[in-house]
Amino acid sequence: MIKVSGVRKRFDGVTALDGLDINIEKGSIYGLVGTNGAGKTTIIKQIMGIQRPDEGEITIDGQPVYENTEVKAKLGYVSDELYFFPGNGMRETAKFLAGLYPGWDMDRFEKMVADFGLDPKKKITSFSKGMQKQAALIFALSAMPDCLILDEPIDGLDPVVRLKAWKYIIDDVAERQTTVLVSSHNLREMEGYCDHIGIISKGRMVIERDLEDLKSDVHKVQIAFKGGFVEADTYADLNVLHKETRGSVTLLIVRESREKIEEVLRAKDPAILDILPLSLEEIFIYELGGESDEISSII
Amino acid sequence: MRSAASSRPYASIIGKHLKRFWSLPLLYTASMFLAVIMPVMLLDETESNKHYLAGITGQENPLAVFLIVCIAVSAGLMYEYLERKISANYMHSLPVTRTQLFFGTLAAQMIVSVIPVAVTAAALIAMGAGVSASLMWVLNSVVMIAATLAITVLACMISGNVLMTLFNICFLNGVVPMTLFLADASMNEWIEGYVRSDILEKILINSLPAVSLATGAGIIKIAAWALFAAVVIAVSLMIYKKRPIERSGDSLVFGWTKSALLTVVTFLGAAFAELLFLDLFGKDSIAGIVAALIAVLSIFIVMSILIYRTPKVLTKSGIVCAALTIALIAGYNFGFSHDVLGIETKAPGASEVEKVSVEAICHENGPRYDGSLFKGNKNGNIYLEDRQNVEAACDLQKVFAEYLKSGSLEGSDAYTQAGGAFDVSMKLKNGRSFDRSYSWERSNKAINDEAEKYLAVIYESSEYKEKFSFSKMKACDSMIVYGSGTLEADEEESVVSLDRKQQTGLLAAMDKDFQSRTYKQEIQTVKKGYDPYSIEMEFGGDNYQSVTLTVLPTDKYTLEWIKKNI
Repeated sequence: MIKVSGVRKRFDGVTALDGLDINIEKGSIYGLVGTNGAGKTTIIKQIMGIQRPDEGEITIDGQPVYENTEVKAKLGYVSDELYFFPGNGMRETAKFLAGLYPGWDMDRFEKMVADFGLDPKKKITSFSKGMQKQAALIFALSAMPDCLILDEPIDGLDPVVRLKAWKYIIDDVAERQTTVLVSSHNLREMEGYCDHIGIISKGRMVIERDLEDLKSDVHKVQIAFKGGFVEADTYADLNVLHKETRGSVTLLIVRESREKIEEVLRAKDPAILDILPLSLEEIFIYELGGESDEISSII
Repeated sequence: MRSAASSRPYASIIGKHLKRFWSLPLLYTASMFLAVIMPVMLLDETESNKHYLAGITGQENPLAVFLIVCIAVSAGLMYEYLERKISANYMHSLPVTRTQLFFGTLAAQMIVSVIPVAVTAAALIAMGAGVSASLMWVLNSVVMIAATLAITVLACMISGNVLMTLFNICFLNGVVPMTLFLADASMNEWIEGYVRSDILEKILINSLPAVSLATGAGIIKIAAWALFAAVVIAVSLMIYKKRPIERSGDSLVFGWTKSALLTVVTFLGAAFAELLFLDLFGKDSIAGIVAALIAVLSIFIVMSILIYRTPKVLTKSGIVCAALTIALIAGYNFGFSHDVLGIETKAPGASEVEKVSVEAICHENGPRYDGSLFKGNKNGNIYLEDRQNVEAACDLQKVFAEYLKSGSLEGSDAYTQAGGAFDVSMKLKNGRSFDRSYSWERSNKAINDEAEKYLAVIYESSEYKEKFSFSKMKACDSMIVYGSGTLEADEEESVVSLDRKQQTGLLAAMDKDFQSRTYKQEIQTVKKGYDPYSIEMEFGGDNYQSVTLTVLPTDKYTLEWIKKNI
C-alpha cells in the first residue's frame, strides 16, 4: 500500500504540493489526474524517492521510500521524461538494471522485447519516442515490481501497443497483486482501466474515491418544470456542482446518489427529469470547475 | 530466469561508469607514454636516462604533473548525470542510495585515473627507474589525483550545470592562491615596510595539491594531502546527501551560494582590476579608476548572467550582491589605505624579541652580507642575539614605524646610491616572526641620521664582526681581482685569477680590514679620483652565486696584500 500523508513541497517560493494525502490500496490501479501544474509529476517524484518532501511522509507497505533501497527495488517507474544511457542498447541497460533489482526477470525482458518488436542491440536513444516509452515500460515490468509508478506512460503509443502495454499491467495486477499508480491526461483510458481515482489541484487532493463510487455519486440532471417556473429553493437540498439553464431546461451536475436526487426532485413535480451518470472526463471538469479558473472558463 | 545479483549496487555503478568512460584511461595512458616514456626511449646516454627518470619519479616533469591533474579533473566529470534534470531523476529513481551512487562513481573515477599512472610506473620500472622510486611516484601521483579529484567532486556537488561545474573547478582550485596573492599584492601596494613572510610563500606553494606535491613532497606532505582529500570527499558526500535533485540543470543547486559566489568573484575581480589599472595608470589617475570600474562592471554582468542565467542583471538579488560588493570594495580600500590593522606602525619592543637578522644595503658591498653565503646558512638569515644588537634593530624599526604614522617613505629607491634600505627579520619570543623592509632617500636626513646611528651599533658589534667574518664564509670556487682603474673583465692584463693559497691570503687580509672597519667607513662614498680594486668571488654548487666587492681606500691590509702579491 502506498500512503502519502500531508506532503508539502515548495520550489523557489512556489508551493507545488500543499499537504497532499494519497492512499493506494494493494493490487489496485490508481489513476492520478489533475490539471497541468497540479503537482502530479512532483508527487510521483516524491513517491519514487527522487525528491525529498519538505513536510509530510510517504510510505510503501509502512516503510519510508526516501533513501530506502529495499523499498525502491520493489518499484517500477516510467517517467514522463525518459532517460537512457547514451550509446546503450536495451540488453546492455537490462544487464545494468539486473544488478540493481533483485527481482529482475531476464526471461520476461527478452519475451517483452520480442513481443513489442524492439531491437535489443540498437541504441535506445535512436528509438522513436513511442519506442522509447515501450522500452521504459519493458524495463519497469522486467524488474517484477510490487508497485508500478507510471507518469503519462501511454502518451505517444499507438492503440495496438497501448492495448498490449495495458494487458501486461493488468496481468501483473491480477497475478501478482501489483499496485499501479498511473498519471495521465487520457481520462477515457483511465476510466477503462483504473479502479480508484485521485483528482488533485494546486497540490491538494480534491477527490479520492473508488471510480465506481465516484461515478455513482456524481450525476448529470436535466430538469424542466411546467410553465418554466422554478422556485428559488428547488435545489437547496442537493449538492449542486454546476447549474446551467438552456431555455426551459436546466442542466445540473449534482454530487448525490441517484436515489436522493430522484427523491428530492420528484417531490417538485418536474415535467422532465433525466438522471445520467457522468464520464470521468466530465467529473474531472465539473469537480475542478470550482477549484480552477481555467476549468471554469472551459465550462 | 530471475537475476541473482541483488546487492551489487557498487559493482553495477562502477561497471556502468567504466563501460561508458573507458576511453579516458586509454587517452591518458597514451598521453603519458608520449610525454613521459617516449623521451626516455629517445635518449641514448645511460646517464641522461637516469637523470631524466629521476626527474619523473621526483615529480619534476611539469608535463607529467599537468597530465595527472587533467586525468583527475576529467574523471571528476563522471558526476555529469547530476547536471541535467532528466539524468539526475533517472539515477535517483534507481534502488541505490546517494552514498552508493557517490562512492560508486568516485571509485570508478579513481580506477580510471590510476590506470595511466600504474601503466606508466610499470614502464618506468622496466626502463630502470628503480622500484621504490617508482612506487613513491605512484603514491605521490595517486594522492595528487585524489586531492585534485576531491576538489572537482566538490565543484560537481554544488554546481547544477556543466558550465558552472567547470567554472567552480577553476574557482575552488584558484580561490585560496588568488586570495593570498591578492592580499600579498595589496599589502605590497599599500603597506610600507611590508615583507612577504615565508609562511605566506609556503601557503601559496602548498595551496594547490599538484604544485605542493610536485615541489618536494615527503611522506608527511603526502599524508596531509591524503587527509585533505578525505575531508573534502566527506564534505562533498554531506552536500550530495542534501542536494536538491530538482535543482539539477540550474547554475548552483543551493540558492544562497548564487549571491555568495557572485559577490566573492566580483570582489576578487574588482580588487585585481584596481591593483592592475591603478598600477598601470597611477594611483590618482581618473583613467585608472574608470578602467577599473569598467572591468568590475563587466565581471559583475558576466558572472550575473552565468549564475542567474538571464541577461536581466538588475534583479533584487543582483542589486543586493552589487551593494554587498561595493561595501566590500569600500571596506577593502579603506582598510588598506588607512592601515586599520596597524601593520605599518607596529613595532615590537626589544623585550619581546629573541633575535634579529639585519640587512642594510647602504653601501656597495651589501650583497656580501647575504646569509646564504655563510657556512650552515643555505637559505636562512644570520641572526644576532646580543641584546645591544636586538635593541638597536628594534629601535631603528621603531623609528620607521613612528615616521610612517605621520608621513611616508615613498619615492625612495633603495638600490641606488641615492637611497638606503633596512631589512629586518625578528624572531619573537612567542615563536612568531616579524619582518619589515624599509627604503628611504639619502636626502631624508632625519631618517638617515637615525639609521646610521643604530646600524653603526650593530655593524661595529663584536657579534656582527664574528658572524660575518670572511672566515665564516663558504669556500669560494674562484676569486678574481680586477685591477685598479677598471671593472671590465675583458681587459685581461688587469684581471688576476687567484689560486687557493692566494685566496686564503687575500681573505685573511680582507677580514682584518673588515674587523677593524667602522660603519662610516663601510658606507663611505669612494673618493673622487680613487680607482678601486674589485674582487669577484664565485660560489658554485646547485645555487651559483657571485659577489663583487669593492676594495675601499681604508682597507689597508687588503691593498697591501694586492700590491705585494699581484
